[in-house]
Amino acid sequence: MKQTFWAKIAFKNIIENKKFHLANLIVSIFTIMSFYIFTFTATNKGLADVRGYTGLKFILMVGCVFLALISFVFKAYTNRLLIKRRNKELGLYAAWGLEPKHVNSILFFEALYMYLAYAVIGIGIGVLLQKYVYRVMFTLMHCDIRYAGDFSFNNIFISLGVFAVIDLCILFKNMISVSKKKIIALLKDETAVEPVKKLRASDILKAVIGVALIICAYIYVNRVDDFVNSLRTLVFAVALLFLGSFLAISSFVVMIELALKKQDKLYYRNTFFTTLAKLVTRTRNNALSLAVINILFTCVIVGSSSTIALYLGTERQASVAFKTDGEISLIDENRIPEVEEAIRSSAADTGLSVEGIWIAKRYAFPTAFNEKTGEFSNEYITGRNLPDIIEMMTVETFNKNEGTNYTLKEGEVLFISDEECPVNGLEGVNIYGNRFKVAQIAEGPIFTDIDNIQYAYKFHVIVDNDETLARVREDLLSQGNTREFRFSVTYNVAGSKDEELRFDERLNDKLMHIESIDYVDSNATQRQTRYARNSVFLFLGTFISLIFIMYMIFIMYYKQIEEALDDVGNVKIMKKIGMYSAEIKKCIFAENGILFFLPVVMAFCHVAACFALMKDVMKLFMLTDMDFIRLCVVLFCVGILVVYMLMYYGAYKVYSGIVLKEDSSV
Amino acid sequence: MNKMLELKNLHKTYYTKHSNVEYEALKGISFDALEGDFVAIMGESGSGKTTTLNIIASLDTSTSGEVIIAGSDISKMGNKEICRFRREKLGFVFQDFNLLNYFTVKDNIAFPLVLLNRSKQEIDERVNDLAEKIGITKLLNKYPYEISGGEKQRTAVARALVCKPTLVLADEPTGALDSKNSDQLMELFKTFNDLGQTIIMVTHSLKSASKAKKVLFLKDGVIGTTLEKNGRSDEEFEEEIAGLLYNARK
Ligand SMILES: Nc1ncnc2c1ncn2[C@@H]1O[C@H](COP(=O)(O)OP(=O)(O)O)[C@@H](O)[C@H]1O
Ligand SMILES: [Mg+2]
Repeated sequence: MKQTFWAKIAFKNIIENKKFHLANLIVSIFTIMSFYIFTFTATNKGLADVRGYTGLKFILMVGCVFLALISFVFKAYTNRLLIKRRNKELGLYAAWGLEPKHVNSILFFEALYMYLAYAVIGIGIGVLLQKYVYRVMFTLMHCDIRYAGDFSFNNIFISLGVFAVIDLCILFKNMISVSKKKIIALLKDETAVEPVKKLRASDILKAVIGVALIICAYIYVNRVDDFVNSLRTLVFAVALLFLGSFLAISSFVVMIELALKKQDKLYYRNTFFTTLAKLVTRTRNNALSLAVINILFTCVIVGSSSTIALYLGTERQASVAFKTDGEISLIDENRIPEVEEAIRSSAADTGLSVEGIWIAKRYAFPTAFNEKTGEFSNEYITGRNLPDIIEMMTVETFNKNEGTNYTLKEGEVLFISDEECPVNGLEGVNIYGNRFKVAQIAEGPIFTDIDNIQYAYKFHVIVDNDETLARVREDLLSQGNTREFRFSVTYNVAGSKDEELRFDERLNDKLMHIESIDYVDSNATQRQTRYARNSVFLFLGTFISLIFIMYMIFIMYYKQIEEALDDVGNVKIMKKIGMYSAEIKKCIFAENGILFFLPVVMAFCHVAACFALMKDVMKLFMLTDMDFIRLCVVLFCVGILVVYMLMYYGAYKVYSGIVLKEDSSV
Repeated sequence: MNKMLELKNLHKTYYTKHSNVEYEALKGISFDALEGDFVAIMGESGSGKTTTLNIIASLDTSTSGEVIIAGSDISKMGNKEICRFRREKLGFVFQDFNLLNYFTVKDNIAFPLVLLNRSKQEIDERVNDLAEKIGITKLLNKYPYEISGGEKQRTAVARALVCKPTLVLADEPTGALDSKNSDQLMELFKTFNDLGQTIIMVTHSLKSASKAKKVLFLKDGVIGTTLEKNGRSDEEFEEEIAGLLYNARK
């Protein structure tokens, strides 16, 4: 027969099964649209003018790759659900005498139509929206919008290509399974749902392993402290969590439900009776989907609430970066006047007044501190994975910069500990052999501190005078430590954020011409680069979360229809035996409710237990206000819970609509 | 003896949704059944037997006419009242058993009692007692897909009887059973009828019908003939029914 014939059949098939294909189409459209917009944003010339462009481009590219990967995983999984239902239909073709190659033709045309439909619509919408999405992103970045209106076919080809490859992989998989199975066997593939009777020993073992895996994942996440440095550990933790959740749902939850069933007082009560009996089997059959949803949910909460916290916390991050407006660090002491002059003239140029300029001589290097003995050395006996930092300066410098008036006698130091590593009752410190008496202990952070994930803790040793400082340095130099003194010039200018930004740009221009400058940084710069970066994160996080949520809805919706169709017979019987529609609805409400909210409750547990991970990630971005992060997470959870409840109600309506459809034969 | 069931001039017209075709399935059915009666309804396929039974069981509504069960007119009852009535007063045995797969045999039998909010103790007593009488005690903890057709139907009978209903309705209960299992089921019906249970049963089988006290013949939505057993033996009664059916064919 001609290919056009199969093409027609394929088209008819799609129209007839539109209930399933439509959901698939919507999600696919959104996915390819997001992908196209990602590539568009990453390659748009307007982005090149933003500070930190290469970093942003890289993040967006990683976003593209990630999106392609998750699309593949989701598409493969939803295909599995769809093909299961279709096996019967494919079997019917076989009964009509179709050969595998004909069935493959049908599958091919179906996939082709779907691909063309979602790719054209998705990219079309993407092209229409790209300008607005771009605008929103630049507004979020607090940048002038520099939209380069060019539209490159490259991005369209890349998007088309990536999704064609994904679809082809899935199509091949389906074709192979059609040709491998004796096609007629497909007809009989309707496996009767066997109820779960009682627990076998293997179930108990699985339940124990499942719970143990989840606990392991929790401990693991909380123990690893440089999480961000290795993606592998993260993937490993998610895999543990997924496997654990799957086993826990399919065995542990079923175990609980069976135990409840044993409670005569509870079980033999009107709606509990059917609800519990059905739940046991439904939980077991849906364990995989529930575990998938559980992980998706966890990812959405962690991903979205951290990108939201990150973005909303940008101001906070920028303002904790420095206590003053900015800092210039240099090695050559003689250049300090030039720097001061640059600050003053930039202020004059932009019409701002200088509130103060402070100079500090600092001596800092990485080390390992033993807070029990007060010893600084190179021996990592503390078990911390990252080095500590020691910073030394004179008490005069310290007082000037901090506005305090400490005094120290010879041989005494002021010890300032990291706020996260208190050192109560420390009497003396030993800096590579140089011993001092600790006169006073204070807690950081001080003016030189910037949060940074690259070290564990930062300690300050304030000595009595310059001679002592020089002596220590000489001694350490003889031990092979070549670190030099640094001079930092910090300043405050009075002005609005915009004025400070202009001042900052001016100052940067002038500093370019001064030699021996180590680094230049300011709150204005920090604010700008962070807004840019956090907006990109928010942008990626939002799109990817939306895709996750859409797939979640898709899986749920699909499962609802499938289960409802299987349940129609049961409900008919229940009605015949005299159950009211209201009672049946109550049962459905309870059953679906438990199945729906099980993964969510588990996801909330995961998030709560893995909060340490989020904390680490946030610290990388210098967002250390834990209460703020917590607030963001909780608010996001409440928000998504509301969305999910609406979704649940919709699914419940779909389900009860299918099973209680007025049928005159009852 | 008291009348257990009265049907007065029952009509039923089906309207198909898509076309405007009307179909009059019942054209004025009237009959009575006494307390402790055992009525068999026979008739060709499509003659309206199931429709009649469904209307008695209030699974369907009549277009006109009255259904009076133990003195109450169910055609005048509200929806909730009907459900209540059905739970407390009626037991139904279906041709295709209609057991729920996710329940054990025991829970399937207990289901109507649970709906009536009976205590666990009462449920246990009733279920065990009935299972003993019907001979399915050993099956109580099995699931429907693990037992044979005959056993399934006996389970369904137990479920129909578990509430001590005033009226048991059975729609071709032996339709899916082989002759041995059919005989056993009819014996069961007879035993319960002897204990005073009122039973109304639709059947195609002469042998099953011969166990009843009265046989109604339905034809094109009206009752044609009624035969009474009047204390004759099963064999004699069967012969009379067979004769009637034979003459009707001619
Ligand atoms: N829901 C319905 N809609 C339309 N016609 C129906 C419906 N149910 C039954 N009928 C028709 O009513 C007639 C009687 O059906 P039924 O009572 O099921 O017969 P039977 O005696 O075989 O049990 C049949 O002709 C049937 O086609
Ligand atoms: Mg019938």
